[in-house]
Amino acid sequence: MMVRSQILELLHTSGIDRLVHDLPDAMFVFDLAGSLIYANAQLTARLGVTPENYSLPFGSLVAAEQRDEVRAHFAAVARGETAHYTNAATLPDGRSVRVQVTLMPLLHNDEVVAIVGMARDIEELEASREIRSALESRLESILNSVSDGFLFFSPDWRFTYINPRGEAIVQRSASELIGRSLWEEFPEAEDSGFGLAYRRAVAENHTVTLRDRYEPLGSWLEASAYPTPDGLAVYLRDVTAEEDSRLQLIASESRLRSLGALLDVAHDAIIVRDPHHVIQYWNAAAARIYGWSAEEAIGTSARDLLYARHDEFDEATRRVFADGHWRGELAQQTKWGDTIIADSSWTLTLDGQGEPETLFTVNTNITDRKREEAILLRAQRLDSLGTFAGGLAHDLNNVLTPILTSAQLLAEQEADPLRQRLLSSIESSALRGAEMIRQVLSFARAGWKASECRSTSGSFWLSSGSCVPLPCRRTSRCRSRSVIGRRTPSAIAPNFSRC
Amino acid sequence: MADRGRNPTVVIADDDALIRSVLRATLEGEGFRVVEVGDGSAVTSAVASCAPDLLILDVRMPGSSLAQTFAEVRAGATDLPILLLSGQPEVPLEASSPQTRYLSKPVPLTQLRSTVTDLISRTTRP
Repeated sequence: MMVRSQILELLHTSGIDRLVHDLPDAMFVFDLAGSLIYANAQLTARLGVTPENYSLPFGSLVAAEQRDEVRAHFAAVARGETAHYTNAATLPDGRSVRVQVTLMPLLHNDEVVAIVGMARDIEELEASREIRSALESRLESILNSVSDGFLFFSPDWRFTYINPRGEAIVQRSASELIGRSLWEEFPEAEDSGFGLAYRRAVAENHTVTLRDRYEPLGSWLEASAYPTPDGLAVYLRDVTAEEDSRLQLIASESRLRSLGALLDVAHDAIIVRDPHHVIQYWNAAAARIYGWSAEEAIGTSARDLLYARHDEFDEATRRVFADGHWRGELAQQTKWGDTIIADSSWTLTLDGQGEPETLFTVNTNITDRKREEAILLRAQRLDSLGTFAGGLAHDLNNVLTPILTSAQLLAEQEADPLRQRLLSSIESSALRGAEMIRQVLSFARAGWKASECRSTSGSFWLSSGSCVPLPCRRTSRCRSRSVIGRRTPSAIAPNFSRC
Repeated sequence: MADRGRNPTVVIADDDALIRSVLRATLEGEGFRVVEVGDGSAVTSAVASCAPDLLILDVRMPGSSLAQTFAEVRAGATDLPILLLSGQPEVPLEASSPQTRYLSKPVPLTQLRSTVTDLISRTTRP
C-alpha cells in the first residue's frame, strides 16, 4: 500500500492534481484506508473540506445513514471497480445538498493505490430541470389555450409543434403533421405568398408578416413568421370573418357613396334628421334650395333653421310621430331671407326597440308653381270677366243702337222744343250708356294688359286668346308690353264666336 | 252691280229686328231701297238676288260665321261695299278688306249717314 506522500507524488507527476484543480465539480482522492489525500478548489470552496481538516469516517461528505452504502462503493472501487451513486452532503452552513458522486480506482503498476472521486452538486440542476419542465408545461398549456395558431418548423421545414388552434386553422391534426414537411403536406403553400414570406423570414432573419387569402383552405390568414435558432415560429390567425366584414364594409361604403351621389343629383332637397330634428344629412339640392352648405346645416336643428313659424312644423311633427309619415305644404325660410313653399314628405323610421330613430324628408320647392297657379287663376278670372263683359257689351250696344238712332231720327223731324229736349235726353242717355259700356270693357280687359317676362317657361294662352305671363324670376330681364287691348286687324286673329 | 237708273239698294243683315227697323227708317229717309236679312245663312242669297249697292252686316249673326258669310259674299260680289257693325269695339279682320268699313254700335246717326254715303258713292261713281 502506498503511503500518502507517494500517492500525492503520483498525482503530481501524472499532472492530475493540476488538471482537476479548477474544475467546476468537486474532485477528491482517498487512500485505501479512507483518508482524504487531495481536495480540489471546488471541494474546498463548496464543502469547506481540506485534507487537513477532514476527519474519518467521511466527515461531512456523507450523511450518517448513507455511510454503509458509501463504504460498500469504496470497497468495490478498492477492488478495481467504478461506482456511481448519489448522496446528501452537508455544507458548512448546515444546509444539505444532493451530490452525484463517481468513484474510480487510481492504478499504479496494475494495483489500486487510491480512490479518485468526483462530486457534482445536482441540487441546482434538478431545480433547473423542474423549473424547465414546469415552464414547458405552462408554455404548452398557454399555446394550447390561446385563440391563435402557433406552428414551429425545423430548419428543414418540418413541423415540430402545432397548437390545437393551429390544427383548426390548417384543418389538419398535429399527429398528421409533426415531423412531416410543410411543403409536402401543403404543396400549394410553397409558391403562395405565405411560402414566400416564410422563406424570406428565414433568409433575411427577421420577422415577416403577411395577410392574404389562402384558397386551398378557403380562408383569409394573417401569418407572422419569426426566425429562431431552431427554425421558424409562425403565429397564425384566421381573419376570414374580419376580412369578410372589411370587404362588406368597403362594399357598403361604395354603395353609400353611390347612393350619396344619386341623392346629390336629385332636384329635391333630401334631409335626414334625428328624432329631435337635428340634421344628419343634407344633399346638394338642399344646399342649392336653402343656401346653407351641408357643413353649415348638419348638426343644427331643422326646426330653427328652416322654419320661421313653428305651428305648422310642430303639427307635422305630431302627425309623423303618430302615423309614421306626413305630407303637406310648408313655408320655409332660406339663408337669403326668402320664404319658399315646399311640398314636404316626411317618413319616420324606428330602431330595433321600436323607438323613433330617423326622420327622412324630401322637400320639393313649389314656390314658382304656386305663384304661377295664383297668376293663372287670376288670369282665368279676368278672362271670364272679359268674356262676360264682352257679351254684355254686345247685347247692351244692340239695345242702345235703336234707341240712339231712333231718338236722333225723331229729333230731326221734331219742331216742338219740349219734345226736342226729351229726344235729346234720350240720345244723351244712350250715348252715356254706350260710353259706360266702353269703360266697363276697358276695366274688364285691364287684366289682359300685363307684363311679360323673358323666361324659359313661356306664357299661358287662355281660350279668349289673351296671354298671361309667368312670374318674374330673380335673374331674368323683364319687359312690358300690351298683349291685348284694342286689336288691330293685321296683328291679332279674330275670334268671331265672341264678336 | 247697282242699277244706275233707280235708287241705291242696301241689304241690312242683322239678327236684331229693332236694329234692322231703325236702320231701314234711316236709310229709306235718305232715299235708299232697303232689303232686310235676319239670318247669316240668307245673306249670300240676298246679295245675289238683289245686287245691292251696299251691304250692312252685323259681325255676329246666327246661321253663319262672319268669315264664312264674308267669303261667300266676296266670291259673288268682289267690289260690293260692306259696312260691318259690331256690338263690341274690337275690329274684325275682314274690316281691313278693300271696300269695307267698320262701325261700332251704337252708331251716331251722322256717322252712319256719312259712312253709308261714302261707300255708296264708290259704287255709283262713274
